[in-house]
Amino acid sequence: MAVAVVALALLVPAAASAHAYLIKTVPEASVILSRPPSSVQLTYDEAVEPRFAIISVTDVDAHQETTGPVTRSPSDPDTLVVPIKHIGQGWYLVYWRAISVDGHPVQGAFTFAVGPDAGPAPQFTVPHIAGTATSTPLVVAKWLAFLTVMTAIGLFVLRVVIARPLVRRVSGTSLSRLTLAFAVVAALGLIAIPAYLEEAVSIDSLRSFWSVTAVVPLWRLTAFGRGYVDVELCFALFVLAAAVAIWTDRPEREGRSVAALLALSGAFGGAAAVLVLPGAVGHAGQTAPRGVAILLDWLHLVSGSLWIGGLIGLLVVWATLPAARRVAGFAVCVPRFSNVAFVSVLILLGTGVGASVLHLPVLNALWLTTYGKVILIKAGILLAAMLLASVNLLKNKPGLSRPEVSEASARLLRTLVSIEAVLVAGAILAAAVLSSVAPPPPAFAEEGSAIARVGPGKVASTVTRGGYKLQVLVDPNRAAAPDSFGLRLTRGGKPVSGADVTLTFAMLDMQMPTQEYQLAETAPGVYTRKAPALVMVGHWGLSYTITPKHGLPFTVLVVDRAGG
Amino acid sequence: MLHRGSLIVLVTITAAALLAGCGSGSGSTATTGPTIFPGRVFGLSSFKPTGPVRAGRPTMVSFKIRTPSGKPLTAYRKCCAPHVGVFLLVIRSDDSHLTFDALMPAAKGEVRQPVVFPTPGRYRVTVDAWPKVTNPNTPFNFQLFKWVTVQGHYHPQPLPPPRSTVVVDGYHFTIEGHPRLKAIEPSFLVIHATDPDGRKAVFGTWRGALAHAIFYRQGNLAYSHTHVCKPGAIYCFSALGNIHVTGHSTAPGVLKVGVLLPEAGTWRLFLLTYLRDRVVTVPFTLHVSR
Repeated sequence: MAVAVVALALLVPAAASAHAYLIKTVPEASVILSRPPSSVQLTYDEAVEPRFAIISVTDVDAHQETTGPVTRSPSDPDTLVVPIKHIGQGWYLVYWRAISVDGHPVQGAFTFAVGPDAGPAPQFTVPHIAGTATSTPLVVAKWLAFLTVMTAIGLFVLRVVIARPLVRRVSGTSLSRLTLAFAVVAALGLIAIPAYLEEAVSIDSLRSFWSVTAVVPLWRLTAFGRGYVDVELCFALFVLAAAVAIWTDRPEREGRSVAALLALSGAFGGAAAVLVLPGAVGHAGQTAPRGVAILLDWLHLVSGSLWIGGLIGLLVVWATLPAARRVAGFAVCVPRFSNVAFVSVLILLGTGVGASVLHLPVLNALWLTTYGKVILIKAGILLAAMLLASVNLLKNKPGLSRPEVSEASARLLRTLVSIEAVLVAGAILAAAVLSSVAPPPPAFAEEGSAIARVGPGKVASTVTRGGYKLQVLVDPNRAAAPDSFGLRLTRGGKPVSGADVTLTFAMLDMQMPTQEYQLAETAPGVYTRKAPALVMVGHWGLSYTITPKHGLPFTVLVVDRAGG
Repeated sequence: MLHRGSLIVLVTITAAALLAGCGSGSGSTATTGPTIFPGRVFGLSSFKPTGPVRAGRPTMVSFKIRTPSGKPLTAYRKCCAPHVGVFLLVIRSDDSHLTFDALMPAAKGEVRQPVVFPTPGRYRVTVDAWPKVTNPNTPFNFQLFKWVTVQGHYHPQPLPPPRSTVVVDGYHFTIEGHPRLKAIEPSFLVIHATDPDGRKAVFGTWRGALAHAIFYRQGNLAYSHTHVCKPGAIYCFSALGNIHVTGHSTAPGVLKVGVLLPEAGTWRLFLLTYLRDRVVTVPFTLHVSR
């Protein structure tokens, strides 16, 4: 059944490839209208949910002009509409915030005016709502969900496969404490998944975590929310199947009954389904080739689960066995776990490298982007854990079979396993951060050709190209604000008039459509345009294509960092 | 029985999960919206006169333009006539009287100009500013408005009906054809001018242009201002948003006046030309449809 749920989830077309993007506004940004509009309409490149959206329309004195809730346009599902009062002459600020299908919030602002004498455009302080996918409570909640689910799956495998011979080989032992540990962690997982979803949706909908009755109905409104509801459902089915598998298992017998084997295969199917869903609704599901990306992500989670669950299982075995039988217990479990862990670590390494190759457009994105830096941190933690694992594999595991050092080896092994478990839990925390940060888009590969790096803050930087001197002007260079963009073009100290100047914006931190604007000459050699183009904080590629009146066209790329 | 260590782990993880959840809100069920602050605007400061004035006497009109930062605007365009400094226009509320001055503010940004308000009533002062573009955020051009009341009994005058020919000081100004003017759409009025002797009028350059076409709408006194320049003039255009219009004169006695009006209604056009060393103001009444 869990497999069927996952199959259904995967049959649904992939979510939009990136964040929701505002592609049209009515009224247009910066327009001066002769008559007041009756509503403000925003069209996105995907159907964003109106119940998560905010559209604020305020006058220069910050009075709210909206008269009703945000609704979806009956004629266009991608368009949100908010009704407004009969407004008078003057300038108005429109601030909007929406939640993408992938669960990430996006926001922006623009102005428009009602004439005929609207006066000069005011300088508005553009509001900003800080709640993001990387807020600390959300990352902690995600980490707890990942940690408990992966540990539960790994503990189950240890209980029903790796540690099973313990009962037969070491007299007076049982697996009941491992079963109890599995039950506790599984119960925590069943709480942690909806807690994470509640936290994510409450942040997106700007409500309190405790507004359960208001937030829960919103869970399934985005692909992200539906995905995690499915994770909870699959995990519950896995726990159920695992409980039956443990109940029917007779570890004192070497063979397994047909009922036990059926229950076991159902539990494994459920576990496999649980671990495929986060990738399907996360970055892997939005990365081409999608099938390969999801497979790599799934294998990564499976191997990670076996590792963390196995480590914690070994600690449970050590803690719950009588002191006299601990060494004997480890002598049974550790060699079997080591074989599984060795293969798991190899798969973890291979799939991690493979996923990085898929997600990073160029190698230097590893140290230049947040996404890349988190990968490096995660890899560093895992390498430290692998170092400890190799000591256990090469030194302590053989020591368990030598009576003269078995006690010391077992004690050292227990200590190192504890540290290793903490490190792997840390790596899972890094994974929680990683899955909350957007991977760099293909446009990032072009960053190497940038002639200058500017920002954050107001920009007035001068660069030269082909005998031309270009002063790049960006003010105030803030995301979600109607920024002004200018280019002062001179050659031989004289302004270059009559050129055709086009400015293209490409978001370098995540996949987003590009925008293109024509700049108007407002003074000799000065080309300007006001545009709400920097819709997010981060790195933007500002590409100026200049066609002088008498000369060959050329393009310069400037990387700008827009602040919040 | 649950082991003590397991209990600690259970309590710790549950507490962490709840604490993580606590981070997102205060407990209220309402949506938390953004905080919006008032915008900072250009405005007129130290404007005088502050109270009613007397008709028929020179009254000193003075002011500074306050920038959004709160400081006075001191940098004005000087390079590109007719788009320079400050235009000071005073229109009577019934559209019957206009004065127009082109001024360059003093070093500290103050503008001072004596103005004669001829008759009692309400006058709207238009400050049409051309600041020096020092950064991309500087507006290219903007207008600010103020009302001045002139003491005495106000007798509004009805607007004359539209006529294609207007005679001022012996000069005949005739609009060619019957142009249909529409709001927002740029269009042109071709105006033929002859002097008192019936010869084609010869226009001189005054305040950077061969003619200033100043439009005020009846009722709300919405304002527009276009220029007629010699062929090849660069800074002669007028703009409404992203729409531009430029008037020009290619033959003696003919003005092609750009019209770019923000709304429909009845408009008064004051065509200011420079003929034989003096300014001639020619008023027309125009109908503008949607």
